[in-house]
Amino acid sequence: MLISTRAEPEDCRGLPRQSGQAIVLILLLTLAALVGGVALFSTGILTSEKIQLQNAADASAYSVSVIEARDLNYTAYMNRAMVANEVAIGQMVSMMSWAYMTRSTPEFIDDYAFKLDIIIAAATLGTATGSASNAVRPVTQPLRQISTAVFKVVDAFTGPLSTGLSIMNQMYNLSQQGFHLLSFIFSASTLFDIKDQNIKGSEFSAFGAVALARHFTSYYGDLLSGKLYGFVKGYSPGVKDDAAGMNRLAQVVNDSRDGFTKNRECGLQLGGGKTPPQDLGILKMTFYAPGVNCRPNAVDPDVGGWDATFFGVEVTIDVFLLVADFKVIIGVARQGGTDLRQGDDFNYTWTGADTTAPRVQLGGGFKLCLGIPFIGRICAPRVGFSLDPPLPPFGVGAALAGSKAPGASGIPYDGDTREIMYGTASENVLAWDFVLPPFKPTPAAIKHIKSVRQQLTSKDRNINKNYKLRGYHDTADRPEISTSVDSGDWISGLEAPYLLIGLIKKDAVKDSQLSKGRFELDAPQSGFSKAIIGDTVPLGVIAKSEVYYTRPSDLKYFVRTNDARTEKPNAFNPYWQARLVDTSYIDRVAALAFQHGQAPLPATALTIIAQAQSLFNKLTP
Amino acid sequence: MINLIRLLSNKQQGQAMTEMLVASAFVAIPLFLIIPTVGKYIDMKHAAVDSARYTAWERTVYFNKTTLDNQPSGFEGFRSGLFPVKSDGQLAAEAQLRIFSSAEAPIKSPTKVGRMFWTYYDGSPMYAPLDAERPGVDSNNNTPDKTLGIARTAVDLAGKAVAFITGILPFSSSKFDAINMRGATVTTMAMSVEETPRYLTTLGDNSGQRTPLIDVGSNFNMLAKAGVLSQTWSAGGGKHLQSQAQALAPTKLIGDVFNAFSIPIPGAGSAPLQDVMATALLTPELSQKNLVFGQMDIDALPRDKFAEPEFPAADDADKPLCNKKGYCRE
Repeated sequence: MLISTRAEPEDCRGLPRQSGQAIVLILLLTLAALVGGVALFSTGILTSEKIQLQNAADASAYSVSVIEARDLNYTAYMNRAMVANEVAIGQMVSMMSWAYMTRSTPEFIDDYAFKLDIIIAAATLGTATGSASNAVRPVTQPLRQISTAVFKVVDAFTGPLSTGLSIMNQMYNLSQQGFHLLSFIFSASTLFDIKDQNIKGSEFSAFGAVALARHFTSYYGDLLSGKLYGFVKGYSPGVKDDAAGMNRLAQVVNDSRDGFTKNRECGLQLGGGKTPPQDLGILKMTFYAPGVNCRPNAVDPDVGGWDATFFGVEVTIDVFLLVADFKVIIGVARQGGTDLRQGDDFNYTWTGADTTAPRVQLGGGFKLCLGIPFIGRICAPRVGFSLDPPLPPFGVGAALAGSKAPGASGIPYDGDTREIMYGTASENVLAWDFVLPPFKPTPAAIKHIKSVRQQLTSKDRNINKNYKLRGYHDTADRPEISTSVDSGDWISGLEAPYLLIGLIKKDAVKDSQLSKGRFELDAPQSGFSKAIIGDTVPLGVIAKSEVYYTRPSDLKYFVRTNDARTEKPNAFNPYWQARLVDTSYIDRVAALAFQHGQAPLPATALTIIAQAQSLFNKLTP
Repeated sequence: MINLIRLLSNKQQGQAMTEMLVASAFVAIPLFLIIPTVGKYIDMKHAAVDSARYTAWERTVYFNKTTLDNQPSGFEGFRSGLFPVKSDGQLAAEAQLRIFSSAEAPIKSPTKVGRMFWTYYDGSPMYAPLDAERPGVDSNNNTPDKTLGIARTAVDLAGKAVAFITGILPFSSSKFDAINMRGATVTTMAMSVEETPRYLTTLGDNSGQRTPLIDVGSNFNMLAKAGVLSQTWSAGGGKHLQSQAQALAPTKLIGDVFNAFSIPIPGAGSAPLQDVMATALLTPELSQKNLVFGQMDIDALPRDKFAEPEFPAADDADKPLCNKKGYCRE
């Protein structure tokens, strides 16, 4: 303290020093304290307002991202349900195809017996007394009754159910679109309500409005036309531009099929298998036990379908100089599958095919050996043969659902390069393409015995002529920040999934605008910025959020069951969440320029630019 | 002359003291008392804002019983009790302890609410709340809707209808109840500020009304509010997704009916009805394992939605490569 009330010592002239000066110092001190007090009060109010404004911006950004996460999660639930219903339609087609095949079996047997009777009658000049038709009748008659009953049951529900499921998928797709639209209403409502729930009197800045417009045009870009990037994309059937998108959905549906639909995978191993080898000296024998062998099995390495083995044996004879082997397997091969196929008109059709055929596998071979002292036996490479001839089927069925039968042309029999497979049914050439032999067929045969190719182009095999693969929504990959202007993404960093909020509060700094000199706040510098925000600088903040996809691999609930592949964000799994994210350098500079009116470059740089511009103008004629 | 000047000077010796006393009593001391008090008020205001934000935003992470019930059912994490749960009261108490208590006070069991900093110049507390004075947390508000609630009500009703239909079906093992239009949390905070101390009474005179240094009244509160929307309807993993979405696939009900019945097999226990039918029809492909009603492969995605390509690079494009699902590279 400089002030003293004690009597000061006299100077050389005997006069007291500094007497009566207290009021001046007090006044100066008071002035300084008042300025400090006002500054404290003003900054306190400003910081409080700014904190609340920042809270409002954060909450608004986060809440809108929550709305969008709900939209995407709802879309994902619907997509999964639509895929499940599509697979169910595939199951209906599969069951119908299987039912047609089952129903045709007694007719096949009767027809073969009928033809056998003709051949026998011709060979014996009509003297034969037995009849193959009569012989098989005790088998085919009950088989016909059972298969007819099964067929009627299956036929009764597959058509209506597939129609209902297809309509249901249409409704799910419409609900996706509807909720997507409603999400815009909820987002807009949330923006204003949540902002006001945090602070009164704030408003979106012009910069914030541009950022919001950019976000919404990208998030709801599918509802707009143009080449702007769209984060959410809707795909519709029958639209050329959406063909690739619909193909993606068809691929997910095909990948989601169950074993029965995909390739008639067999899940019940009934007997079958191989017996242990029996060593009888020079003779070694292995028998195939009767039963159903699910594939892949010892008879067939392919996946899907099954082989019913009646008899099978492998014999190996080893007489030192000669090793010979022989194999014969007699049974029935069951094959089939159902696929969602794309037609030429960008529409899709479910098609299924089933075949049952006798199967006789023959094989054998030999190798010559030589005994060499001290070395042992040396054998030449085995020479052998293997036969698995196509045999006439005794069960063929096919069914489809779709507005246009895709036919069976172009389906290769080569099992290596095909995309559409019908299990392995397309390898059964006789079932796929056979025609009735040139004998008069029975009426039942004409009705029930048809090749797969004939059935797939037959209208009466169509269980739902109005079937369509319905549209769906999905997300696009997020844009790169460096997206070029040519792509139409002329404002990068503000697009969905990001959301930038710019909030201002004008009256918060009104008093501060009166301050001059060193206490004066920075005023808008450039004419452009002034034109946007006016003469006064408002209190402003920005906040950024995003809707993001997370499937954490370290949580057991989320682990993928079949592999450990990393998923990109997608609208097939409802794992969307919202979060606040850091604002980028570009965001902050842009906000400084357009929301606060501050030039992003220092004055010296602006001067240099102005001088360069002046020089350029002088040099330009 | 010198004596005269000395005389006059001696008369001025008391003036500085008088000026000092008057200025101190009416200007300097009040200023020195008021300025810190204002600073402390501002600090309290910030604390009020902090507490409102804290309680609102905690609801984006923690559930209470009501908001937990709003979540899509069927998540095993709910049943295991490992889900983050805090009641509204717990949140408010936490805010009080974390924000309105001294930094050194233990969070779990503080003995006193109020910061040491929040004291008037005479040592009396500026903030001495009752236990009931905590942030008001209202966790289960509706999603904002500017269409007079029409859009929200429509979505809510549709969601409830679907949940009802999928939930009441007999044998149904799944239910789609993800849609819930609540989830907005609104919090308010009113910190009651204690009255400022009053001037000391004039010695011997207790009759007059004493005047406070800063008259803030007895109903001076630091007000703050916050609001945020949470609850994204997301699923907690594959099984949760299945339990929700399969309810929208009606054929799942067929499977549930089949699963509800098993047929006793003499000497072999029992077998599901579907497997018995498959065996009777000599069609093992119709077994429960293969013909799955409501089939849903939750790992199946469009191929461009995987970070790594499923198939090797195109240098061996002429060789057939098929995935486990039976699809080959084009």
